[in-house]
Amino acid sequence: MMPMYISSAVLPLFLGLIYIFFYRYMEKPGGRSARRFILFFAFLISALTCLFPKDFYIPFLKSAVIFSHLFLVFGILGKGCFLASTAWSIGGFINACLPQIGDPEKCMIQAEKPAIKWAIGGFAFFTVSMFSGELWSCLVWGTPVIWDDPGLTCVMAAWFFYVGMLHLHLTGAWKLKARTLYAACGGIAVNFFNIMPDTGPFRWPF
Amino acid sequence: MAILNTMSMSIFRKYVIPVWNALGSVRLTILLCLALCLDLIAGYVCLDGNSHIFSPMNETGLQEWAVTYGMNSLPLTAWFFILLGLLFFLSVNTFICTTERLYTLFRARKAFTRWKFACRLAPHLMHYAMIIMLLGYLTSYLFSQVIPFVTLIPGSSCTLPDGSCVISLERFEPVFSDSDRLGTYRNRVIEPRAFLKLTDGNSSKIRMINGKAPLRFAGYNLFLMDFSPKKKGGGMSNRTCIVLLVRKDPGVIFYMTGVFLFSTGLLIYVAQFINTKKDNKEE
Repeated sequence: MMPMYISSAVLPLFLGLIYIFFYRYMEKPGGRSARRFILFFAFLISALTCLFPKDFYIPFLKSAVIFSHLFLVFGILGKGCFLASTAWSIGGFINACLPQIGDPEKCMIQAEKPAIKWAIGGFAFFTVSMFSGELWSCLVWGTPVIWDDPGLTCVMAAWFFYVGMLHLHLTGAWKLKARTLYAACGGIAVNFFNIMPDTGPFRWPF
Repeated sequence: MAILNTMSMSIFRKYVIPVWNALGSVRLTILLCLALCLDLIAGYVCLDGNSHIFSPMNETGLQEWAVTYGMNSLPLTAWFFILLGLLFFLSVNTFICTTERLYTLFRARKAFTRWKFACRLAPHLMHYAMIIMLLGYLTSYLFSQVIPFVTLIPGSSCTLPDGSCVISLERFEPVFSDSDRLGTYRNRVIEPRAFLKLTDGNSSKIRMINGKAPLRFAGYNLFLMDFSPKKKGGGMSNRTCIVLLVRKDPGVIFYMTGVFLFSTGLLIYVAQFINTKKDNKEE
Protein backbone atom coordinates (compact mmCIF):
# COMPACT_ATOMS: atom_id res chain seq x y z
CA MET A 1 0.00 0.00 0.00
CA MET A 2 1.14 3.55 -0.64
CA PRO A 3 2.50 5.52 2.33
CA MET A 4 0.42 8.63 2.70
CA TYR A 5 1.79 12.19 2.49
CA ILE A 6 5.39 11.01 2.36
CA SER A 7 6.37 13.03 -0.69
CA SER A 8 7.45 16.10 1.32
CA ALA A 9 9.69 13.84 3.44
CA VAL A 10 11.36 12.18 0.42
CA LEU A 11 11.69 15.34 -1.69
CA PRO A 12 14.70 16.71 0.30
CA LEU A 13 16.43 13.36 -0.28
CA PHE A 14 15.92 13.70 -4.03
CA LEU A 15 17.15 17.31 -3.97
CA GLY A 16 20.25 16.11 -2.11
CA LEU A 17 20.86 13.48 -4.80
CA ILE A 18 20.52 16.16 -7.50
CA TYR A 19 23.08 18.27 -5.62
CA ILE A 20 25.54 15.36 -5.38
CA PHE A 21 25.19 13.90 -8.87
CA PHE A 22 24.93 17.16 -10.80
CA TYR A 23 27.47 19.14 -8.75
CA ARG A 24 30.07 19.32 -11.52
CA TYR A 25 27.49 20.48 -14.07
CA MET A 26 26.73 23.47 -11.84
CA GLU A 27 30.14 25.09 -12.19
CA LYS A 28 28.87 27.53 -14.82
CA PRO A 29 27.84 31.09 -13.89
CA GLY A 30 24.54 30.94 -12.05
CA GLY A 31 25.31 27.34 -11.09
CA ARG A 32 26.73 28.23 -7.66
CA SER A 33 23.60 30.21 -6.81
CA ALA A 34 21.49 27.32 -8.13
CA ARG A 35 23.37 24.86 -5.88
CA ARG A 36 22.78 27.06 -2.85
CA PHE A 37 19.08 27.32 -3.64
CA ILE A 38 18.75 23.55 -4.10
CA LEU A 39 20.25 23.06 -0.63
CA PHE A 40 18.04 25.82 0.74
CA PHE A 41 14.91 24.18 -0.72
CA ALA A 42 15.95 20.79 0.72
CA PHE A 43 16.43 22.38 4.17
CA LEU A 44 13.17 24.36 3.95
CA ILE A 45 11.08 21.34 2.94
CA SER A 46 12.68 19.22 5.71
CA ALA A 47 11.84 21.94 8.24
CA LEU A 48 8.26 22.20 6.94
CA THR A 49 7.83 18.42 7.19
CA CYS A 50 9.15 18.42 10.80
CA LEU A 51 7.17 21.40 12.02
CA PHE A 52 3.97 20.92 9.99
CA PRO A 53 3.48 17.16 9.83
CA LYS A 54 0.40 15.59 8.36
CA ASP A 55 -0.79 12.94 10.78
CA PHE A 56 -2.36 10.54 8.32
CA TYR A 57 0.56 8.23 7.69
CA ILE A 58 -1.64 5.11 7.76
CA PRO A 59 -2.04 3.77 4.25
CA PHE A 60 -5.50 2.92 2.99
CA LEU A 61 -6.61 -0.22 1.14
CA LYS A 62 -7.47 1.50 -2.13
CA SER A 63 -3.81 2.47 -2.52
CA ALA A 64 -2.75 -1.17 -3.05
CA VAL A 65 -2.62 -0.59 -6.81
CA ILE A 66 0.60 -0.17 -8.84
CA PHE A 67 -0.59 3.15 -10.29
CA SER A 68 -0.79 4.75 -6.84
CA HIS A 69 2.91 3.99 -6.27
CA LEU A 70 3.84 5.30 -9.73
CA PHE A 71 1.82 8.44 -8.92
CA LEU A 72 3.88 8.97 -5.73
CA VAL A 73 7.32 8.18 -7.15
CA PHE A 74 7.00 10.14 -10.39
CA GLY A 75 5.37 13.01 -8.50
CA ILE A 76 8.44 13.27 -6.24
CA LEU A 77 10.79 13.15 -9.24
CA GLY A 78 8.73 15.80 -11.04
CA LYS A 79 8.61 18.17 -8.05
CA GLY A 80 12.35 17.76 -7.49
CA CYS A 81 13.12 18.63 -11.13
CA PHE A 82 10.78 21.65 -10.94
CA LEU A 83 12.58 22.88 -7.82
CA ALA A 84 15.94 22.43 -9.57
CA SER A 85 14.60 24.46 -12.51
CA THR A 86 13.39 27.17 -10.12
CA ALA A 87 16.81 27.19 -8.40
CA TRP A 88 18.55 27.80 -11.74
CA SER A 89 16.10 30.58 -12.67
CA ILE A 90 16.55 32.32 -9.31
CA GLY A 91 20.34 31.92 -9.62
CA GLY A 92 20.31 33.48 -13.08
CA PHE A 93 18.03 36.33 -12.00
CA ILE A 94 20.11 37.18 -8.91
CA ASN A 95 23.35 37.10 -10.94
CA ALA A 96 21.74 39.39 -13.51
CA CYS A 97 20.91 41.88 -10.73
CA LEU A 98 24.52 41.89 -9.45
CA PRO A 99 26.58 44.00 -11.92
CA GLN A 100 29.92 42.68 -10.62
CA ILE A 101 29.08 39.15 -11.85
CA GLY A 102 28.91 40.07 -15.50
CA ASP A 103 26.57 40.97 -18.33
CA PRO A 104 22.99 40.55 -16.99
CA GLU A 105 21.64 39.19 -20.27
CA LYS A 106 24.44 36.64 -20.55
CA CYS A 107 23.79 35.51 -16.93
CA MET A 108 20.10 34.99 -17.67
CA ILE A 109 20.75 33.13 -20.95
CA GLN A 110 23.28 30.82 -19.26
CA ALA A 111 20.82 30.05 -16.47
CA GLU A 112 17.83 29.64 -18.80
CA LYS A 113 19.19 26.56 -20.65
CA PRO A 114 19.64 24.32 -17.58
CA ALA A 115 16.40 25.70 -16.10
CA ILE A 116 14.48 24.62 -19.20
CA LYS A 117 16.16 21.20 -19.27
CA TRP A 118 15.13 20.59 -15.66
CA ALA A 119 11.63 21.91 -16.44
CA ILE A 120 11.28 19.49 -19.39
CA GLY A 121 12.42 16.56 -17.23
CA GLY A 122 10.09 17.66 -14.45
CA PHE A 123 7.20 18.06 -16.88
CA ALA A 124 7.70 14.54 -18.26
CA PHE A 125 7.84 12.97 -14.75
CA PHE A 126 4.94 15.10 -13.50
CA THR A 127 2.77 14.18 -16.50
CA VAL A 128 3.45 10.46 -15.93
CA SER A 129 2.56 11.03 -12.25
CA MET A 130 -0.70 12.79 -13.17
CA PHE A 131 -1.70 10.10 -15.65
CA SER A 132 -0.86 7.35 -13.13
CA GLY A 133 -3.01 9.17 -10.56
CA GLU A 134 -5.87 9.40 -13.05
CA LEU A 135 -5.62 5.71 -13.94
CA TRP A 136 -5.54 4.82 -10.23
CA SER A 137 -8.61 6.99 -9.62
CA CYS A 138 -10.43 5.46 -12.63
CA LEU A 139 -9.75 1.90 -11.48
CA VAL A 140 -10.72 2.44 -7.86
CA TRP A 141 -13.25 5.28 -7.74
CA GLY A 142 -14.58 5.17 -11.31
CA THR A 143 -13.63 8.72 -12.29
CA PRO A 144 -10.23 10.30 -13.10
CA VAL A 145 -10.86 13.31 -10.85
CA ILE A 146 -12.11 12.99 -7.26
CA TRP A 147 -13.09 16.32 -5.82
CA ASP A 148 -12.55 15.22 -2.21
CA ASP A 149 -8.84 16.07 -2.30
CA PRO A 150 -7.98 19.79 -2.67
CA GLY A 151 -4.35 18.93 -3.46
CA LEU A 152 -5.47 17.90 -6.94
CA THR A 153 -5.97 21.54 -7.94
CA CYS A 154 -2.37 22.35 -6.97
CA VAL A 155 -1.11 19.49 -9.14
CA MET A 156 -3.08 20.86 -12.10
CA ALA A 157 -1.87 24.41 -11.36
CA ALA A 158 1.77 23.27 -11.42
CA TRP A 159 1.17 21.39 -14.67
CA PHE A 160 -0.37 24.43 -16.43
CA PHE A 161 2.35 26.70 -15.04
CA TYR A 162 5.09 24.59 -16.61
CA VAL A 163 3.11 24.20 -19.85
CA GLY A 164 3.18 28.01 -20.00
CA MET A 165 6.90 28.08 -19.19
CA LEU A 166 7.76 25.60 -21.95
CA HIS A 167 5.67 27.56 -24.47
CA LEU A 168 7.40 30.78 -23.37
CA HIS A 169 10.81 29.25 -23.93
CA LEU A 170 10.02 27.51 -27.22
CA THR A 171 8.34 30.55 -28.79
CA GLY A 172 10.32 33.36 -27.10
CA ALA A 173 7.02 35.21 -26.71
CA TRP A 174 8.20 37.40 -23.80
CA LYS A 175 11.50 39.20 -23.20
CA LEU A 176 14.31 37.30 -21.49
CA LYS A 177 13.97 39.15 -18.16
CA ALA A 178 10.20 38.55 -18.05
CA ARG A 179 10.73 34.85 -18.82
CA THR A 180 13.36 34.50 -16.08
CA LEU A 181 11.08 36.29 -13.59
CA TYR A 182 8.17 34.02 -14.59
CA ALA A 183 10.30 30.94 -14.01
CA ALA A 184 11.82 32.19 -10.73
CA CYS A 185 8.86 33.80 -8.91
CA GLY A 186 6.21 31.59 -10.41
CA GLY A 187 8.29 28.53 -9.65
CA ILE A 188 8.52 29.45 -5.97
CA ALA A 189 4.77 30.08 -5.68
CA VAL A 190 3.66 27.01 -7.62
CA ASN A 191 6.05 24.62 -5.91
CA PHE A 192 5.04 26.02 -2.51
CA PHE A 193 1.39 25.25 -3.28
CA ASN A 194 2.38 21.84 -4.58
CA ILE A 195 4.07 20.92 -1.30
CA MET A 196 1.48 22.52 1.01
CA PRO A 197 -1.20 19.78 0.70
CA ASP A 198 1.32 17.32 2.19
CA THR A 199 1.70 19.45 5.32
CA GLY A 200 -0.58 19.77 8.32
CA PRO A 201 -0.97 22.13 11.30
CA PHE A 202 2.01 23.39 13.31
CA ARG A 203 3.30 20.82 15.84
CA TRP A 204 6.38 21.40 17.96
CA PRO A 205 8.33 18.13 17.62
CA PHE A 206 10.01 18.18 21.06
CA MET B 1 -23.11 37.15 -57.33
CA ALA B 2 -19.49 38.19 -57.91
CA ILE B 3 -20.08 41.32 -55.81
CA LEU B 4 -21.52 39.14 -53.04
CA ASN B 5 -18.46 36.90 -53.27
CA THR B 6 -16.16 39.92 -53.11
CA MET B 7 -18.09 41.34 -50.13
CA SER B 8 -17.96 37.96 -48.36
CA MET B 9 -14.22 37.74 -48.96
CA SER B 10 -13.59 41.22 -47.59
CA ILE B 11 -15.78 40.52 -44.52
CA PHE B 12 -13.95 37.26 -44.14
CA ARG B 13 -10.56 38.98 -44.35
CA LYS B 14 -11.63 41.89 -42.13
CA TYR B 15 -13.29 39.98 -39.30
CA VAL B 16 -12.88 36.22 -39.41
CA ILE B 17 -9.16 35.98 -40.10
CA PRO B 18 -8.07 38.41 -37.34
CA VAL B 19 -10.32 36.62 -34.82
CA TRP B 20 -8.96 33.26 -35.99
CA ASN B 21 -5.37 34.52 -35.63
CA ALA B 22 -6.05 36.05 -32.21
CA LEU B 23 -7.69 32.88 -30.91
CA GLY B 24 -4.77 30.79 -32.16
CA SER B 25 -2.03 33.06 -30.78
CA VAL B 26 0.70 31.60 -28.56
CA ARG B 27 0.59 34.69 -26.35
CA LEU B 28 -3.04 33.80 -25.60
CA THR B 29 -1.91 30.25 -24.72
CA ILE B 30 0.56 31.59 -22.17
CA LEU B 31 -1.98 34.00 -20.68
CA LEU B 32 -4.56 31.22 -20.44
CA CYS B 33 -2.05 28.89 -18.74
CA LEU B 34 -1.20 31.61 -16.22
CA ALA B 35 -4.90 32.33 -15.63
CA LEU B 36 -5.59 28.61 -15.16
CA CYS B 37 -2.73 28.37 -12.69
CA LEU B 38 -4.06 31.28 -10.62
CA ASP B 39 -7.64 30.01 -10.80
CA LEU B 40 -6.62 26.52 -9.66
CA ILE B 41 -4.68 27.95 -6.71
CA ALA B 42 -7.81 29.91 -5.77
CA GLY B 43 -9.64 26.61 -6.20
CA TYR B 44 -7.32 24.97 -3.66
CA VAL B 45 -8.15 27.66 -1.11
CA CYS B 46 -11.90 27.27 -1.75
CA LEU B 47 -11.84 23.46 -1.86
CA ASP B 48 -9.80 23.02 1.34
CA GLY B 49 -12.28 22.24 4.10
CA ASN B 50 -15.24 22.50 1.71
CA SER B 51 -14.93 19.27 -0.25
CA HIS B 52 -18.50 18.36 0.82
CA ILE B 53 -19.69 20.97 -1.72
CA PHE B 54 -17.68 19.48 -4.60
CA SER B 55 -17.69 15.72 -3.96
CA PRO B 56 -21.37 15.26 -4.98
CA MET B 57 -20.25 16.15 -8.52
CA ASN B 58 -18.71 12.66 -8.73
CA GLU B 59 -22.20 11.15 -8.51
CA THR B 60 -24.67 13.74 -9.79
CA GLY B 61 -22.76 14.97 -12.82
CA LEU B 62 -21.96 18.54 -13.84
CA GLN B 63 -25.41 19.88 -14.82
CA GLU B 64 -27.22 18.87 -11.63
CA TRP B 65 -24.30 19.90 -9.45
CA ALA B 66 -24.07 23.33 -11.14
CA VAL B 67 -27.75 24.22 -10.54
CA THR B 68 -27.73 22.96 -6.94
CA TYR B 69 -24.43 23.11 -5.05
CA GLY B 70 -22.74 25.30 -7.64
CA MET B 71 -25.28 28.14 -7.68
CA ASN B 72 -26.02 27.98 -3.96
CA SER B 73 -22.38 28.29 -2.87
CA LEU B 74 -21.15 30.69 -5.54
CA PRO B 75 -18.39 32.36 -3.46
CA LEU B 76 -16.80 28.90 -3.07
CA THR B 77 -17.61 27.49 -6.50
CA ALA B 78 -17.07 30.49 -8.79
CA TRP B 79 -13.49 29.37 -9.47
CA PHE B 80 -14.84 26.12 -10.96
CA PHE B 81 -17.09 27.91 -13.46
CA ILE B 82 -14.17 30.17 -14.41
CA LEU B 83 -12.07 27.00 -14.82
CA LEU B 84 -14.60 25.58 -17.30
CA GLY B 85 -14.53 28.82 -19.31
CA LEU B 86 -10.72 28.95 -19.37
CA LEU B 87 -10.49 25.30 -20.41
CA PHE B 88 -12.94 25.98 -23.24
CA PHE B 89 -10.84 28.87 -24.53
CA LEU B 90 -7.66 26.86 -24.10
CA SER B 91 -9.17 24.03 -26.19
CA VAL B 92 -10.18 26.45 -28.96
CA ASN B 93 -6.77 28.14 -28.86
CA THR B 94 -4.94 24.79 -28.91
CA PHE B 95 -7.04 23.48 -31.78
CA ILE B 96 -6.54 26.54 -33.98
CA CYS B 97 -2.81 26.89 -33.23
CA THR B 98 -2.09 23.18 -33.70
CA THR B 99 -4.18 22.83 -36.87
CA GLU B 100 -2.37 25.74 -38.54
CA ARG B 101 1.05 24.36 -37.67
CA LEU B 102 0.07 20.84 -38.65
CA TYR B 103 -1.13 22.10 -42.04
CA THR B 104 2.27 23.76 -42.62
CA LEU B 105 4.08 20.62 -41.43
CA PHE B 106 2.13 18.30 -43.75
CA ARG B 107 2.77 20.56 -46.71
CA ALA B 108 6.51 20.33 -46.03
CA ARG B 109 6.61 16.64 -44.96
CA LYS B 110 8.78 15.54 -47.92
CA ALA B 111 11.66 17.63 -46.57
CA PHE B 112 11.96 15.41 -43.44
CA THR B 113 13.00 11.84 -42.75
CA ARG B 114 10.45 9.62 -40.99
CA TRP B 115 12.04 10.08 -37.56
CA LYS B 116 12.38 13.85 -37.96
CA PHE B 117 8.78 14.05 -39.13
CA ALA B 118 7.65 12.01 -36.10
CA CYS B 119 9.63 14.37 -33.83
CA ARG B 120 7.95 17.39 -35.40
CA LEU B 121 4.56 15.71 -35.13
CA ALA B 122 4.99 14.79 -31.44
CA PRO B 123 4.08 18.19 -29.90
CA HIS B 124 0.97 18.40 -32.12
CA LEU B 125 -0.04 14.90 -31.06
CA MET B 126 0.22 16.04 -27.43
CA HIS B 127 -1.91 19.10 -28.15
CA TYR B 128 -4.70 17.15 -29.85
CA ALA B 129 -4.51 14.52 -27.10
CA MET B 130 -5.11 17.22 -24.50
CA ILE B 131 -8.26 18.34 -26.35
CA ILE B 132 -9.47 14.72 -26.53
CA MET B 133 -8.86 14.30 -22.77
CA LEU B 134 -10.79 17.47 -21.94
CA LEU B 135 -13.61 16.26 -24.20
CA GLY B 136 -13.55 12.98 -22.30
CA TYR B 137 -13.87 14.73 -18.94
CA LEU B 138 -16.78 16.84 -20.22
CA THR B 139 -18.55 13.79 -21.68
CA SER B 140 -18.02 11.95 -18.43
CA TYR B 141 -19.44 14.73 -16.27
CA LEU B 142 -22.39 15.40 -18.58
CA PHE B 143 -23.48 11.94 -19.70
CA SER B 144 -22.40 9.43 -17.06
CA GLN B 145 -25.02 7.26 -15.43
CA VAL B 146 -24.15 6.73 -11.77
CA ILE B 147 -25.94 4.68 -9.15
CA PRO B 148 -24.14 5.40 -5.87
CA PHE B 149 -24.44 3.49 -2.60
CA VAL B 150 -25.83 0.16 -3.81
CA THR B 151 -25.81 -1.73 -0.50
CA LEU B 152 -25.95 -5.51 -0.66
CA ILE B 153 -26.09 -8.12 2.09
CA PRO B 154 -25.62 -11.84 1.30
CA GLY B 155 -28.66 -13.00 -0.66
CA SER B 156 -29.94 -9.52 -1.53
CA SER B 157 -29.89 -8.21 -5.08
CA CYS B 158 -30.08 -5.05 -7.14
CA THR B 159 -31.54 -4.64 -10.63
CA LEU B 160 -29.70 -2.38 -13.04
CA PRO B 161 -31.61 0.44 -14.85
CA ASP B 162 -31.99 -1.57 -18.06
CA GLY B 163 -34.26 -3.97 -16.14
CA SER B 164 -32.82 -7.30 -17.21
CA CYS B 165 -29.50 -7.41 -15.34
CA VAL B 166 -29.34 -8.29 -11.66
CA ILE B 167 -26.44 -8.18 -9.22
CA SER B 168 -26.53 -10.11 -5.98
CA LEU B 169 -23.99 -10.77 -3.25
CA GLU B 170 -23.14 -14.46 -2.96
CA ARG B 171 -20.57 -14.26 -0.20
CA PHE B 172 -17.94 -11.94 1.30
CA GLU B 173 -14.57 -13.59 2.01
CA PRO B 174 -12.06 -10.93 3.06
CA VAL B 175 -8.40 -11.63 3.68
CA PHE B 176 -7.30 -10.51 7.15
CA SER B 177 -3.81 -9.33 8.00
CA ASP B 178 -1.96 -11.63 10.39
CA SER B 179 1.49 -10.04 10.25
CA ASP B 180 2.94 -7.34 12.46
CA ARG B 181 4.50 -5.41 9.59
CA LEU B 182 1.60 -2.97 9.62
CA GLY B 183 0.64 -3.17 13.28
CA THR B 184 -2.45 -1.05 12.82
CA TYR B 185 -3.79 -3.56 10.32
CA ARG B 186 -3.42 -6.68 12.52
CA ASN B 187 -6.67 -8.69 12.29
CA ARG B 188 -8.09 -6.07 9.93
CA VAL B 189 -9.18 -6.67 6.35
CA ILE B 190 -6.20 -6.28 4.05
CA GLU B 191 -8.05 -7.37 0.91
CA PRO B 192 -11.85 -7.30 0.67
CA ARG B 193 -13.12 -10.04 -1.64
CA ALA B 194 -16.80 -10.03 -2.52
CA PHE B 195 -18.27 -12.68 -4.81
CA LEU B 196 -21.10 -11.31 -6.91
CA LYS B 197 -23.64 -13.26 -8.91
CA LEU B 198 -24.23 -11.42 -12.18
CA THR B 199 -27.46 -12.46 -13.92
CA ASP B 200 -28.11 -11.29 -17.45
CA GLY B 201 -31.43 -12.67 -18.71
CA ASN B 202 -30.99 -16.47 -18.68
CA SER B 203 -27.25 -16.68 -18.00
CA SER B 204 -25.50 -16.01 -14.73
CA LYS B 205 -21.89 -16.03 -13.57
CA ILE B 206 -20.03 -15.46 -10.33
CA ARG B 207 -17.24 -12.90 -10.30
CA MET B 208 -15.01 -11.52 -7.56
CA ILE B 209 -14.58 -7.81 -6.85
CA ASN B 210 -11.86 -6.54 -4.50
CA GLY B 211 -11.87 -2.74 -4.65
CA LYS B 212 -8.66 -2.51 -6.71
CA ALA B 213 -10.29 -2.77 -10.12
CA PRO B 214 -13.83 -2.48 -11.48
CA LEU B 215 -16.02 -5.37 -12.52
CA ARG B 216 -17.55 -4.89 -15.95
CA PHE B 217 -21.11 -6.13 -16.43
CA ALA B 218 -23.74 -5.32 -19.09
CA GLY B 219 -21.96 -2.10 -20.07
CA TYR B 220 -21.72 -0.94 -16.45
CA ASN B 221 -18.64 -0.78 -14.24
CA LEU B 222 -19.04 -1.91 -10.65
CA PHE B 223 -16.74 -0.49 -7.96
CA LEU B 224 -16.44 -1.74 -4.39
CA MET B 225 -16.63 1.40 -2.26
CA ASP B 226 -17.12 0.05 1.24
CA PHE B 227 -17.65 -3.17 3.16
CA SER B 228 -18.33 -4.60 6.59
CA PRO B 229 -16.95 -6.13 8.78
CA LYS B 230 -13.57 -4.43 8.67
CA LYS B 231 -11.88 -6.59 11.27
CA LYS B 232 -11.97 -10.17 12.61
CA GLY B 233 -14.80 -10.61 15.04
CA GLY B 234 -16.67 -7.72 13.49
CA GLY B 235 -15.79 -4.99 15.94
CA MET B 236 -18.72 -2.65 16.48
CA SER B 237 -20.72 -4.21 13.67
CA ASN B 238 -20.35 -7.83 12.54
CA ARG B 239 -23.08 -7.54 9.88
CA THR B 240 -21.77 -8.54 6.45
CA CYS B 241 -22.51 -6.05 3.71
CA ILE B 242 -20.86 -4.31 0.79
CA VAL B 243 -21.47 -0.95 -0.84
CA LEU B 244 -21.08 -0.73 -4.60
CA LEU B 245 -20.94 2.16 -7.03
CA VAL B 246 -22.44 1.36 -10.42
CA ARG B 247 -21.28 3.57 -13.25
CA LYS B 248 -21.78 3.82 -16.99
CA ASP B 249 -19.29 6.34 -18.36
CA PRO B 250 -19.05 7.16 -22.08
CA GLY B 251 -16.12 9.52 -21.45
CA VAL B 252 -13.66 6.79 -20.43
CA ILE B 253 -12.74 5.87 -24.00
CA PHE B 254 -11.93 9.52 -24.80
CA TYR B 255 -9.63 10.21 -21.92
CA MET B 256 -7.88 6.84 -22.14
CA THR B 257 -7.24 7.56 -25.83
CA GLY B 258 -6.03 11.04 -24.89
CA VAL B 259 -3.70 9.65 -22.21
CA PHE B 260 -2.25 7.12 -24.68
CA LEU B 261 -1.71 9.70 -27.45
CA PHE B 262 -0.23 12.27 -25.04
CA SER B 263 2.16 9.67 -23.58
CA THR B 264 3.24 8.62 -27.08
CA GLY B 265 3.89 12.23 -28.09
CA LEU B 266 5.76 12.91 -24.84
CA LEU B 267 7.92 9.81 -25.30
CA ILE B 268 8.92 10.85 -28.83
CA TYR B 269 9.59 14.44 -27.66
CA VAL B 270 11.80 13.31 -24.74
CA ALA B 271 13.64 10.82 -26.99
CA GLN B 272 14.32 13.59 -29.48
CA PHE B 273 15.51 15.87 -26.65
CA ILE B 274 17.94 13.22 -25.40
CA ASN B 275 19.19 12.49 -28.95
CA THR B 276 19.80 16.19 -29.59
CA LYS B 277 21.76 16.41 -26.33
CA LYS B 278 23.89 13.40 -27.39
CA ASP B 279 24.54 14.90 -30.83
CA ASN B 280 25.60 18.19 -29.22
CA LYS B 281 28.01 16.34 -26.89
CA GLU B 282 29.58 14.45 -29.81
CA GLU B 283 30.09 17.68 -31.71
